[in-house]
Amino acid sequence: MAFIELKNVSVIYKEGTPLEAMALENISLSICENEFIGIIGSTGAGKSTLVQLLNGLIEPSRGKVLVEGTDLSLMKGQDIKKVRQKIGLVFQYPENQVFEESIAQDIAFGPRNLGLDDDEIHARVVHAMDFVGLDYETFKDRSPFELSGGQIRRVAIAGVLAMKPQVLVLDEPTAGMDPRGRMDILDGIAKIHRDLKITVILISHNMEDVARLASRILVMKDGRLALEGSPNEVFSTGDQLNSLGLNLPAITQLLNELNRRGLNIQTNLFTVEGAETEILHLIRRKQNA
Amino acid sequence: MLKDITIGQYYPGESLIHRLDPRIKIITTLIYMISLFVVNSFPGYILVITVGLLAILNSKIPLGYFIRGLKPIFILIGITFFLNILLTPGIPLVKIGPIKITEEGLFLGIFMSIRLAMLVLVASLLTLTTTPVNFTEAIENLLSPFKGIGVPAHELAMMMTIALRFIPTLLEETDKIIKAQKARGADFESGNLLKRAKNIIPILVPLFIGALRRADELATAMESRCYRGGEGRTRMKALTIETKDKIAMAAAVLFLVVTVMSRW
Repeated sequence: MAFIELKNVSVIYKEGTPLEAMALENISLSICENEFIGIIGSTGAGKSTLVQLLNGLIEPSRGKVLVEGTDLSLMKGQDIKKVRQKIGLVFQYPENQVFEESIAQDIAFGPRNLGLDDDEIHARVVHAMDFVGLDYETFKDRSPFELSGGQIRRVAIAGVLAMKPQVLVLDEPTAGMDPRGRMDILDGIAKIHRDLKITVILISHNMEDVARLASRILVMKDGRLALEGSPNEVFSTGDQLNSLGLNLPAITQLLNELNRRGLNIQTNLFTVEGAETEILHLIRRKQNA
Repeated sequence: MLKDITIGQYYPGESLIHRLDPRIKIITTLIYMISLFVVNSFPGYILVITVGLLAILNSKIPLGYFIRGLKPIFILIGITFFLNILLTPGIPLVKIGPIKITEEGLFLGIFMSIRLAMLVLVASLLTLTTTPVNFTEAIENLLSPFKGIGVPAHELAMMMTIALRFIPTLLEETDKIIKAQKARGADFESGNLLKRAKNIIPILVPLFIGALRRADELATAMESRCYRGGEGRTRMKALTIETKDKIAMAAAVLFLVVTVMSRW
């Protein structure tokens, strides 16, 4: 059974006023356990709205959101809290949500809201910080406001991980970061998916990131689900992707261009590593010939 | 919940009221408000209410916007009404135990409620028909004669402009922070008053930090575009007084004279 299911969901903002706006239109979707889903789409396509539906922060105007088979709209306070524990959501620019005096306290905010005892909270904070690569002893008493951009995002991710979610949703976790910081965060996310065996849903503007990490890609356009499939399926529709306002990963564009200029090279590769091997192969073939 | 705040809201339109010079609009609104408290006779009230309602109708703004502006002061109007009815001495109409309702009290209660309601309605009319930029420019213009005695006219106007500009931004940001904390299991709906007040801290701290950061960035952006205060500053669209503004002003003065005369 799917862990999360969306059935014909639409979200309409300010319905019945002149400012009415359709944010999502008739979306049906199931998300299973241990998947890694990438969501891509241009600005305003409804990506953020979609993920906020999953833990009941936004209610659908039409349709149903089911988590483990239960309709979210039928849930009351405590049950909704449980859903928010199971589906951890890290917002865009999470540095804007920290408020405590120390990093350890800020990470403990989520677990404390779950009503856990102090020992358990402490254990979870230590574990979560360790997992995102922040040394507990070094960082626990530091103020979250004196950290670098990459560090503070790790604090925010740790704050959600400490709630032990079964699904981790990240809304553009690398927005506005330098390449090195981006790689660190993405490697961390890949590790979370691999070691903790939890479902990850990653929103990103960056095709390379999604291509490298996701096992399934959702492409959104104007509030609708425009394309869905494995990276291979989605990125082999080159032209269609362009018409949705998105580009292929830069490295795939390069391989396509090489192919167009007469080199017999495989083009369904979406990571720099994969392309590197393929190009080396090609060179070797040419030398042997 | 946060979407209901309508301070400084502007409703676009092309009516005569919309097109009046903002300075004239502010002055005539003040004159109208004075008239509201000058009149004390029945015909006087009829005149003042009619003029007020005609102005509102002329703006062609849906009446719902005005009703929404009235909502927050319904309780205040109610209290005023009952206090006036119960505490005004005069000829008793009804007497129940120690409570007595007088004829004078009843009229005063009704009149005071009308005054308060009209006060809020014309104030809403002013802000609904004037863009924030025009409004603050008019304030600066009207205050500039007092610069000599140390009134910082330009600075006040600039502060108002910035405050109005950032109301929607901060509301949006508050909404985002509330959601982010809810996603971390925060609960803003249950618990006693003290607990609820404490629960606001995770919203307030990030909100203030964000506001300070924005202020800092805005100051840098203004300075890098050579902003140096109001001295010698010119306008791209300077305010001009036209014939219709002069007529509106004359009508307002005439209106004030009539209402003052109506006292005798």
